[in-house]
Amino acid sequence: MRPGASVALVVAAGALGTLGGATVMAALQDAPAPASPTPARAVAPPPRTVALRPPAPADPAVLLAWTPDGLDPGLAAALAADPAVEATSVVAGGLVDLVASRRADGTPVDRPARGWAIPLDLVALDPAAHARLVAVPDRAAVAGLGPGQALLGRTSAALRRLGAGGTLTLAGGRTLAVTAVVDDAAIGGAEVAVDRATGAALGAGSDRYLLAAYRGDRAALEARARAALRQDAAVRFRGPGETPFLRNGDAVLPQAQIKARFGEFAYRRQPGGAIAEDPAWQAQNIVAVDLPIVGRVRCNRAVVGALAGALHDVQRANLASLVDPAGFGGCWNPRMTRSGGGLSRHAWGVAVDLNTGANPTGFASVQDPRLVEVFRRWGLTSGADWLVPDAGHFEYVAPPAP
Amino acid sequence: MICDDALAAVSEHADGELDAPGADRLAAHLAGCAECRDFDRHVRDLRAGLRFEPVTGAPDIAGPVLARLRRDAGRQIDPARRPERRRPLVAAAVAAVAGLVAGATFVGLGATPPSPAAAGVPARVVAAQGTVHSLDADFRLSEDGRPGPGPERRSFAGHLAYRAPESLALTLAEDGGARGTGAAARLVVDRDHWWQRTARACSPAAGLVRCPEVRATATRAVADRAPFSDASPVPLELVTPVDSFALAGTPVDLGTRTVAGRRAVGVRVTAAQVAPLLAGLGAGVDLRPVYPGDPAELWLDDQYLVPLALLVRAGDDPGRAPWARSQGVADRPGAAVVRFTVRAATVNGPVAAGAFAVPGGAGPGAGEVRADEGFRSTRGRPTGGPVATYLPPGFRRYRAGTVATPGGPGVAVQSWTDGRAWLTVRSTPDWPGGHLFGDLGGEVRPVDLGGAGRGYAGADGRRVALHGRGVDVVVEGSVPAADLRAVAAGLGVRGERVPAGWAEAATATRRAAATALPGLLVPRAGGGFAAPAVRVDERTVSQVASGAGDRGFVLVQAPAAHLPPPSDGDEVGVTVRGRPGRYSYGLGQLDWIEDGVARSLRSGTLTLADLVGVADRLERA
Repeated sequence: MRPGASVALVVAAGALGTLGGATVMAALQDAPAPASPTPARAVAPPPRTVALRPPAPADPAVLLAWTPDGLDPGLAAALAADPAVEATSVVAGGLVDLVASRRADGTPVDRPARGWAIPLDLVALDPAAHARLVAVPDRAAVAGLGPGQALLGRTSAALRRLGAGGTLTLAGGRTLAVTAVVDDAAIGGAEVAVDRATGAALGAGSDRYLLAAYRGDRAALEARARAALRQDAAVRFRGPGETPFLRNGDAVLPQAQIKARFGEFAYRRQPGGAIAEDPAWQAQNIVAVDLPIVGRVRCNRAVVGALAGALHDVQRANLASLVDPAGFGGCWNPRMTRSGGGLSRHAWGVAVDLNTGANPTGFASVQDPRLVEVFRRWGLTSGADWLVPDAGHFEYVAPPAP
Repeated sequence: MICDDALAAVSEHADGELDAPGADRLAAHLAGCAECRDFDRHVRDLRAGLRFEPVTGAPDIAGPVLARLRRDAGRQIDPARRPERRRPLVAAAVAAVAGLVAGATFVGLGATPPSPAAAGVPARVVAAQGTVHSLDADFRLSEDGRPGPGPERRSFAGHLAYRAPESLALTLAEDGGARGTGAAARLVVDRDHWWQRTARACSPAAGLVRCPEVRATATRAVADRAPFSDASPVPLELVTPVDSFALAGTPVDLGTRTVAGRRAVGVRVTAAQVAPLLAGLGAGVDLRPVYPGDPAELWLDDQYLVPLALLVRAGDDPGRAPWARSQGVADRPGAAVVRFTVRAATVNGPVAAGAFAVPGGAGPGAGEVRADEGFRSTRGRPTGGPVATYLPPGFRRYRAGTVATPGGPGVAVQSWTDGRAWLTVRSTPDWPGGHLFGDLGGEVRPVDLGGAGRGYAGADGRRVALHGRGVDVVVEGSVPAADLRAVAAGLGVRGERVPAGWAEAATATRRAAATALPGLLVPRAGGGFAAPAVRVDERTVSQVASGAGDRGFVLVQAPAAHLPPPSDGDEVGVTVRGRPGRYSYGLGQLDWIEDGVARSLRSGTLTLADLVGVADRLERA
C-alpha cells in the first residue's frame, strides 16, 4: 500500500462519517423527548455522495493489532519499541452505563427511568499519542481531551442528540463534559472516548487494541510483533481499507453502528449475564415469526427478511438437512457477551445460532460452507473465521447482496 | 449385456464382487466381444505386473523452476483464482485456493515449446477418467511453515481406496503422536451414504473457551445422498484430477520419472490449478494455507493419470507478500510448502473387502451431525425428469431417483458414469424462481443450444442450466463443457430467457442505472469484455461482464458510508483507483468506497491484478 494511503482512508472515513452523522442527526433532531425508559428511534438512510481528499504521501502507514480477550502486553511492548514504529496508541475500552445527558444549555436529553441505563461503548486512550494517528481535522480535538471530558463519534452524537458542551452522567455519578464530536474512525467506531485515567475510573481500563504508525515493510513488522506474543495467542493485524473501523473485534459492526440501524434501548443488568431491556423498544422491534426450518423465532423485525431469505434459499437448494432444528440456539436473547465485556448482538435480535451442538465456541467449524455462503449473501456473517471461532453464530453486518 | 456393462463387470469380477449369474453373463459377453476381452486381459496383466517400491527422492528441480518463473514473470498471468462455490471438504488451504481452478486459463506460461507429453496432459486427464475403475494407494503428506501456535511442520500417513464411480475411503493420520497436533481424519463415501470423522481444533480463550484435555472429534454422517452430491462430495480429484485440468491450458513439461514403481509424467502448474486436489488431500486435517500462485510440480501416472506426487513450493510472486501477511505465514521462496507422495498404488486392482465400511462406535454424541439428503432411488423406474437423447460415448446409467426435502422443490436426478467420469441431470417442475435452478453463481453467461434454445453456463463451465416451460434443468458433470451442452441440448427441453425478475436477467440500460445511482462507474469499452448486462435493484446496480473464454466479472455498486466488516480473515489491503480498498482471496472480491458508494468487483476467473486493472479502467457513466 502506498505511504499515506492509510491517512487517506482516515480522512475519507472522516468525511464520510461526517456526512453520515449529519444525516442521522438531521433525521433525529425532531425526535420526541424520551419516555421511560427510552423510546426506539428511527434509522437514517446512508449518505449519498462525498468527496475524498488526496492522500498525504509523507505520512506513515497505520497498523491495527488486537488479540482476543484483551491486548497481549507483549504485543504492545514490542511494537512500541520497534524501530520502524514512530508512534503507538494503546486503546482500552468497556461498556459504561449512561443515566442522564444534557445539552450545553442544560436541557435534559436522555433520562432513562431510575434503575435503567443506556449502554455506551466507550474507549479510553492517551490523547497525545492517539492524536498522531487520526486524521488532521480531529487531531486537535483528540489531543485536547482532558480528565473528565469526552469525545463523541458522529454516529454517537446523532444517537445522543448532543454536541460539544453537552454532558453525560454515568452510573456511579461521574459526569463527562463533551468537548467535541469527531469522526467515528478517529475513535475506532466507539460511541464515547475518554482519556485513560478517566476510563480506568469508569471501569473501562482493559486494553483492547493498538494502533501503530510505521514506515517500511509491514510484513516484517508483523513478524516481529508476532514473535513477542504469548505462545498461544492469536492476533489480527489490519490496515486502513481492510476493515471499516480500526478496532478490536472488527469482523462485526461496532455497537454505535448497530444502534444506528436497529435502534437503542435502555437496559438493566441482571444476574448471570442476563439483561432486562426497555419494554417499549422490545415491543417495537422484536417480533415472533415462523421461519423456514427452525420454526418459531423471536427476532428483530429488521432482520427477519434476511433470515427468512437465507433459510428459504437453503430449503430451495434442498440443503435443509444442513440445519439441525434441535441445534437452533435462537435469535433474540437479552444478555451480555460471554466474556461480560459488552452487549451481545442477540440483545438486539440481529444474530442467530445454528447447529450449536456441533459448533461450540472456540472449536473449528463443521458448518457446511454452502450454508455459510448463503447466509453471507444475505448479509449475515459467520463467526467461523473469528480469532476465537464461533461457528454456530451468524450476525447481521450488511444488507443482502443482490 | 452391453459393452459398457461388461467393462464395469470386469472390474467387479477382478474385485471378487461379481455374483455367479453376473459372472456367467460376463463370460458370455467376453466370448463374443474381442474389445472387452482385451480389456479383461489388460486388467489381469496389470494385476500380475504390479510392483511396489518406495519412492526414491524426487529430483531437485526447484532452482530451474523458479528461475524459469522469474524469467517468464513478464508474460505470465498471475493464476490466482477463486472458488465460485465452496466445497464442504474445504480445509484451511481452501481459504486461499479451494475451487480456484474454476475457469483456470493459464496462458503465457513460458517461451519453451511444450513437449508433446505435457501438451496432451489436460485432454489425457479428462479422457483417462473413464479408464479408472479402482484405486488403492498408500501415500505420505507433509506441510511446512504452518502459521500460528503449534508445530511448523506436520506429516501424515495416508491411505486411499476407490471404486468407481463414487465409493471412496480416505484416511489421514499425523505422525508424531503427542508431539504433533493429533490431527486425524477418515472419510468414507459409498454411493448413497457419506461419513467423516475429524479431530477438532480448539482455540482456548480465557473466560470464553476451555479446551478439553482429550482431543475432540467431529463426525458427520449423511444418509440418502444423491448421486455425485455437491453437499457431501467425494474428492475424486485424488483419483483423476479432472477439475484441475478440464479447462487448463498446456502445462510446463517436467519430463518423466518413476514414482511408486509407476512411470509418471510431470507437469508444472500452480497451486491454484490443483486446488481441488489439495482440498481433497487436506480433508479434515486443516492443512496450512497455500498461495494460489505458488508453483506446483505434479506427477501423474503415465497411463491412468492418477496423481502420484505433488510438491508445492513458495513462489516469489510480488502478490504473495500481502497474502502471506494475511495468513500469518513466512515462507522462504523455493521452500517446500506441501508435499504429497504415493508410496504404493494399484490401479484397477482389487479393493479390500470392507474398505468402505463406516467405522464402529459412531454413535450420536457431541460434535456429531447426522443428516438425510432426501434422495430416494426410483429403482429403474422413470424419475419424471427429461429424457437424455445424447450421452458421451461410454457412459452408462447409474443411480436415479428423486430428492425431496422439507420446503425444497421436488427434484428428479438422473446420473450416468464411465469409470470415474460422471454426469447428472437434475430437473424440477417446482422451481419458485428468483434465480436459475442449479446454483450457477453470479457470473452466468447465455449459451446457444441450437434448437433447444437458450441455456446458461456458470463461470467454471461445469454446469449448464435451462429454464423451460414448466421445468428447470441443470446438467453437471466431470465431462468437457461441450459434452454438457450437448446433453442439455438433447433433453427435449426448450430453454427460454429467464424472467425479468430473476437475478440473471438484465433489467436496465446503462442510462437508467446511472440515473438510479449517481456516480455510477461502468467498464470502459474495449477492455476485453463485452458490454455488461445491467440490473437495478432499488439503488443497487449490478453489471455482469463476459470476456474471452470464461473470463468475466460482476460489479456491484450501492450507496454506503463504510464497507461491511471483513469476514474471512484473508483480506489484504490494496490501492484501488488511488483509494484504500481490500481484496479477499476466498471470495475473489475487491471492495472499496468511492464517493459514498461501496464498489465491489467479484470474479471467479480474474486475478487480483486483473481486477485492479478492471477497476482502474472504470469510468463514470
